[in-house]
Amino acid sequence: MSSTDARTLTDSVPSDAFVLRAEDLNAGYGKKQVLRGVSLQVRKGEVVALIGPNGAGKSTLLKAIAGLVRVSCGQIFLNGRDLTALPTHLRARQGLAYFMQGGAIFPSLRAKDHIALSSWVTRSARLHGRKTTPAWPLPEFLADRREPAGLFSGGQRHALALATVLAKPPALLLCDEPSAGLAPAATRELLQRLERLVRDLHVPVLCWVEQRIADILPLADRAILLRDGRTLAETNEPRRWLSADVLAEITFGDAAK
Amino acid sequence: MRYLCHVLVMINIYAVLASSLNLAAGYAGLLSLCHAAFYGLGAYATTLLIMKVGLGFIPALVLAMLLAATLSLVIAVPSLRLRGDYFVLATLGFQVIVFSILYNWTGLTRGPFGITKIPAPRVFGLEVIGIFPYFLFSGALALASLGAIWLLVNSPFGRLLRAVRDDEVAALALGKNAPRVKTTAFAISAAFAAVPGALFAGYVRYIDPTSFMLAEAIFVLSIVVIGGAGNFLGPVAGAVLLVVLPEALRFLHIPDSVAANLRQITYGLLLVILMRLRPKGLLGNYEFD
Amino acid sequence: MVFQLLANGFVGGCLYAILAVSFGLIYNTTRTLHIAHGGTYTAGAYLCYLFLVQCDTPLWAAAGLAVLLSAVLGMGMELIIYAPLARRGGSPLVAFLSSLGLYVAIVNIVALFFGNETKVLRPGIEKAYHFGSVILTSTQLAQILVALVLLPAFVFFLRMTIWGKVILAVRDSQELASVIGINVQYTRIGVFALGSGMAGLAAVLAALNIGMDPQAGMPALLTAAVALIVGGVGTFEGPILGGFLLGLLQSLMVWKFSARWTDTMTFLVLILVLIFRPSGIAGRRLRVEENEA
Repeated sequence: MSSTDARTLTDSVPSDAFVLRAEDLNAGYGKKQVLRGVSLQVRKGEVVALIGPNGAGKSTLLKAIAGLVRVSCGQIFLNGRDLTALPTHLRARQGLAYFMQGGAIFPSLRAKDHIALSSWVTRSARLHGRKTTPAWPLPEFLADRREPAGLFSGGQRHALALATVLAKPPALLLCDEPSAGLAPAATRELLQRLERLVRDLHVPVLCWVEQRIADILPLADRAILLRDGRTLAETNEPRRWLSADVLAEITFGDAAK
Repeated sequence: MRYLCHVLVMINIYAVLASSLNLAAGYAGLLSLCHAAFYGLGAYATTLLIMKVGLGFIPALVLAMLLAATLSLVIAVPSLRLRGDYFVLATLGFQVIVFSILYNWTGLTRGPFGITKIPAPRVFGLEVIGIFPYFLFSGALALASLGAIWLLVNSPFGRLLRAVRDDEVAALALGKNAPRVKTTAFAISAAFAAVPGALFAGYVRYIDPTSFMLAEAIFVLSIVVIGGAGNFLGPVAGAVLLVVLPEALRFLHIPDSVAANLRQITYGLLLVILMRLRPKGLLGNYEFD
Repeated sequence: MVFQLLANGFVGGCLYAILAVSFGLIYNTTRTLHIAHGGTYTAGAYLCYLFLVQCDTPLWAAAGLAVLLSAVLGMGMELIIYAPLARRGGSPLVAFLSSLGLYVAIVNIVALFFGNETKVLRPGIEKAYHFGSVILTSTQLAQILVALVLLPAFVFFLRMTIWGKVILAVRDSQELASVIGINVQYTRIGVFALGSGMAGLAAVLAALNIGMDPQAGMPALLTAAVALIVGGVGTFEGPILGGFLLGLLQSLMVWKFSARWTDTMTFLVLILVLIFRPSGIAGRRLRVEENEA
């Protein structure tokens, strides 16, 4: 399937149903261009999986949407609002939640402080005049811990990172390898919770997964294959891509070149 | 003619001083704020060795160079294995201390009164007296020093230095001991900074600590930055510019008390503007990255 | 005798602690080696002098204005010099050289307008208070009082208020902070304002106690930097410890040898700390990556 097919998939859907719309994105680091005209759309309540070989630009795409990488050409719309010129922190306040790879946290702050900070900054309480329930509440045992988060274990950091980013129900969740560094059991639990997030709160999720394709693809509503900074293929039957042929294309794509 | 010779002597002195700093800052990536201290150590050590111990100029100079190189280790060895900021602070501290010692150890240095009646340099039995002979003498020493630095910079060691400066991680991966390389470069740089000190002492025949303060270190740094770091001719060009310019402005008849401050303000603002617009300087090819 | 020594050390320590905390605040949060902080220090003292002596405003108002204007000066330096350099992605050394240029310019502008000699902020004999065997002047007492109020307030602000947590977050990770919605640029400006204001306050106190001259900024800044390293780079409370330690050491130095060698002693302390414990007293063990240039 080519990128033109990608467009026909979502063409017939009215544009205001799109939570995220990225058009013709070109982005890179300094002189090195990574994204070469990527377009994609995410609808409310859907899980979109981004896959592709190393260097395809998956991480860069997420970073460009989050605002951490400057876009040299193209536009990004969140719920109809043009984000392209906005700096990262303003995008966050518009409802963009970005879960950074590895589960980044603030080593100096306590767990409770993370959540307090995240809610305060997005002014959820002030805006709505009442306490909004977090989309992903912090587990009790973490919330009560008094030591700084720098001393947490990997799994605990992961949980905290996710809870921090979701301290207020977001308009869109970007996940950069959400299962990286997790044991299989924890991964399954994470993915189930992500699914509940999507189904119950209708939060659209845009995920990049590399290792656990077999885990995420069954959960996804759509999957996009990126290569060399371009959209190579798209499907709204991601399970089809669980076949060995497609997996081989992805895994050995570099060697095949 | 006398005036021209005088300017040329000063250019010789500052060209060597700036080149020595360039070796550390431009080629090794070590931002040093204490080269005025090595300059001062060169001046005082050479002078004291000549006047109190009776050595000739060249032996005294060599010992002074060794002294500067050895003292540089006090800064370099503890701080170069840490983040760059520590090194910069250590050089700053060293600069302040050397000045403090020169100013306060009156038994040795006569403190703020300075050392007067310094004899003219005696080389191979000849005394270098008179401006024109001194111009030739300083020129010869300057050429020798610059020649030595040029050879060093273009040697395998020089290439190693640049490699470590540009990508320390890669150099480490190749098994090169980065801190040791940088320490060596810094020590050599300190030694060569002592040479203009000896030249200065023999020329003006009077030295006092105020010639070797932090302001002087910043002046030399400005020469390197403006002329261009990491390039062999950069500091020379910068020396020419920054020695000639104040001399040219002398004709504007600004009162002395104001002139010193105005000069400093100019250097300071020049640094700020240069960093904003052209961090590489006039000829340089290293942006302190 | 011993108590007077300790008292003098404590008084000096108060000053160094404030200056070191302010320098550390800026360095930890923005990673800028803000050497021009010494210029803010100098400017602060002379601004107070300007208002006090030449405009005849009462001391508290002159001091307040000096602190305010110091904060503005610091904000200006971030806005005009550091922030554009950071946006361009320049190296920290370029920022440092700009900072150095700023320091030189500020200090010499001050010298141009006010002269190079040492000045006293308030001429005349100080009122002395006796506490047993210890004698303290009113300005020394003021210095202690200010420090005892300011330093705990700062720690409270940092650890208990939300803005303090914002600063800690930005210090930990500018990237993550902006991802959760923190305006890192505003935080930097705020940090510069707070740090520079504190430096101005320290300068006023020092000027009242020992007088001021345009060249005093650099030794003061160096002592603050050493106090930061001794107390623990990367911590915000460490410099308080470092400041008091250095104050005490200086007092001992003055008693045993002479005031002339205090700078030398400070540098020796720096070298010793760098050799044996670069992370400082309160600092975390520096990770290897952090140690690399």
